[in-house]
Amino acid sequence: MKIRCPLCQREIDPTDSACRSGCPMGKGCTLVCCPGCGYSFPMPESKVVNFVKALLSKGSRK
Amino acid sequence: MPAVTTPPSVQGAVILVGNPNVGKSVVFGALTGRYVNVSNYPGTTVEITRGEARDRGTAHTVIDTPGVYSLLPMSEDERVTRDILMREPGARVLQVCDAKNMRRSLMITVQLAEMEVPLVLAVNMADEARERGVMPRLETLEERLGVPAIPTVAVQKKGTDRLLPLLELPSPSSVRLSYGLRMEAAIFRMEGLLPPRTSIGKRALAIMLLCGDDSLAPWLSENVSAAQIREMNEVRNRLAEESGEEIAFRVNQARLYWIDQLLGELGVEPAPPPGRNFAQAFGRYAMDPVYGFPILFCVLLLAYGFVGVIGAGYLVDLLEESFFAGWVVPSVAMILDRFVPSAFLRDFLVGPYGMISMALSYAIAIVLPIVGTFFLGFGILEDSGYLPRLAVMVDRLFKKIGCNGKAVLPMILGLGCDTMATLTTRILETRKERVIVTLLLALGVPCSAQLGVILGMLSDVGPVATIAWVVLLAGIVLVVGYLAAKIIPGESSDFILEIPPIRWPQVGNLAVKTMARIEWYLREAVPLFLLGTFLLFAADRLGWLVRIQVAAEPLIVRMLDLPPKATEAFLIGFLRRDYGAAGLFSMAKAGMLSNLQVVVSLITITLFIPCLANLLVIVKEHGGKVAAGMALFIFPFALLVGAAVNLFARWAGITF
Repeated sequence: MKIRCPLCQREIDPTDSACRSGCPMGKGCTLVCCPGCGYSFPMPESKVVNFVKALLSKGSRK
Repeated sequence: MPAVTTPPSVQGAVILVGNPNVGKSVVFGALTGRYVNVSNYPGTTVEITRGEARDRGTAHTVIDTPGVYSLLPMSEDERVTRDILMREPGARVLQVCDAKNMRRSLMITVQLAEMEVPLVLAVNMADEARERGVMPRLETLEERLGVPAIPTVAVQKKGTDRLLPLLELPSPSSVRLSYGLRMEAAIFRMEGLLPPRTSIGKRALAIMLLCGDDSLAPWLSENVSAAQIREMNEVRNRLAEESGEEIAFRVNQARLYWIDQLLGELGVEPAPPPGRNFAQAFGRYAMDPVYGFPILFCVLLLAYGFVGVIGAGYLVDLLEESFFAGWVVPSVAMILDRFVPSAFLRDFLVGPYGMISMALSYAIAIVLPIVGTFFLGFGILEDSGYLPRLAVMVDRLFKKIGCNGKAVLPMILGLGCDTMATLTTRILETRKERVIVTLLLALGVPCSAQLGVILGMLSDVGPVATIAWVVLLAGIVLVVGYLAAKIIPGESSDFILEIPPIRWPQVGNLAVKTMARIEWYLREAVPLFLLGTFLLFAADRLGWLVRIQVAAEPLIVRMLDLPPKATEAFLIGFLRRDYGAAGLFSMAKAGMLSNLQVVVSLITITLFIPCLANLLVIVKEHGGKVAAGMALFIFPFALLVGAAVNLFARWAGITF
């Protein structure tokens, strides 16, 4: 999955976010660091939203 | 007479093809009713998605393919898309184009025309192209290509209802480019060596093979004899020798030349008069170093109102007073008293420095509602396209006062996460540059979470205090940035930003983005809040807290004119500045701070030592000596600025 940096609009692959490994808070951190401009932002994915979506889809299937 | 019925024609799937980030997934969603991804982030269709579209009772299978720049594969995504086109029998292609960038889109159209696949064009994001005055005249495009070209705004489902009827009986494009005599002769020979029946046009296959497309090797070994493959290689090698340059390069050049000529002939639709369109005018002025500032001021005012009134006002009252102080803490205390009558445990959980009464109360009841509303506002700034404009405006402003791009970078990046921004200083060339930019980040750039808490706290004091805080911080950052630019030699190293159009953010995207930020924040902040509270609890039990407060009295009480208890906020501010700000917020809510004291304490804590994570990264990147040097500069600098503001305000009779 590729995502777009909200600052410089560059398309990036979040798995290439190498600076994450250099951070002491890196374990479990979901921030993505744009290799183009350095701007950091969370992965556009939320566990809570996914959970709610899954619940809703289960409900609609029933 | 028996009724004669014509058997239904066997039609293949509708294959969606297009460049990355042209709205293919949204078109797919509009056709099939199945939501894939409404954002314009590209590449979300790396996995192939199939869906079913219904038009007047007829079902069509629709396949969404990965975004591609060319059908001569250079990546796995492009190979997958090309293979689908080759292997889907009787397929019809719906190419989704970006109306703002037809040059790139037409590169694929030309290749689809050579493949001889039935084709319809959806010229998407037509609204943005019209706003920019670059919308091509589609009637002329249809005439030249010989296929329908429909303007669409997929996110609003405009024009997408016209696509399926046109896909009932589409025809291939009539376009045939000429690549020159030598190349044409090679194409002709190559076509002769291909099997009589091919799934796509022989001309397209011949060109791919001449361009050296190795990914076709499995198909060749299945469909062509070894002798013919050898002969194909000879044709290609001879052409390469004769032309003396890479064949793929030559083919691309010919295609681009043809496309440029076509676009020149097409012309564009008349653009709306400049300045009449509000979004366009707003987008233009937001980048202006003069007009950009009043706009920034209004944006900050809106954010301040939103975060202050809803987050720091209503939601904090609800969570802190009604939920935590009114229900959680008394309930836990009652349970402990009844079942585990231990004074130590009671103190540890719900005492003045309790894990629930302080750590969780600060994290959940004070900081969470404030940063939650701030993250929502920040997401609006990102998705509306304002943030890149802010970067351009700041960049232009700094250039006007003689700074270079390197001094600007941290001002914007720090709004994400100072720790990450510190790590990205690796891209700077010299050690001196890296140290100065790291210092700027640590000193004066609050990250989004810290900014949220500070804005929320200032909202209780009033707009004048907020303006004073903004002006002072901006002044300090400008001065430090200016000095940094004087020290950092060299030319401006601009960072490249693509400026998106100003647009309304989508509610679904905003919700996901805000939740993602809140989840990240809780994961990172709550453990540190617990640790900080535990340290305070331990210091209190051991009697150290009073000693620290006494030792800090000359600084906190005499210099800054704050109550001794504010020492605790600065102590926990070592872990996270927003945690410290939350401590001050709690004191202000309890009526322990005057408005002037709130402003002084916030200015001091904004400039205070960076958070623990950032400090560790500074040690890691620049060594312990540099980190200690920065801390030794920042610590007294923050206190001195706070003291100066306090003295000046008292002298001038300003109480906020």
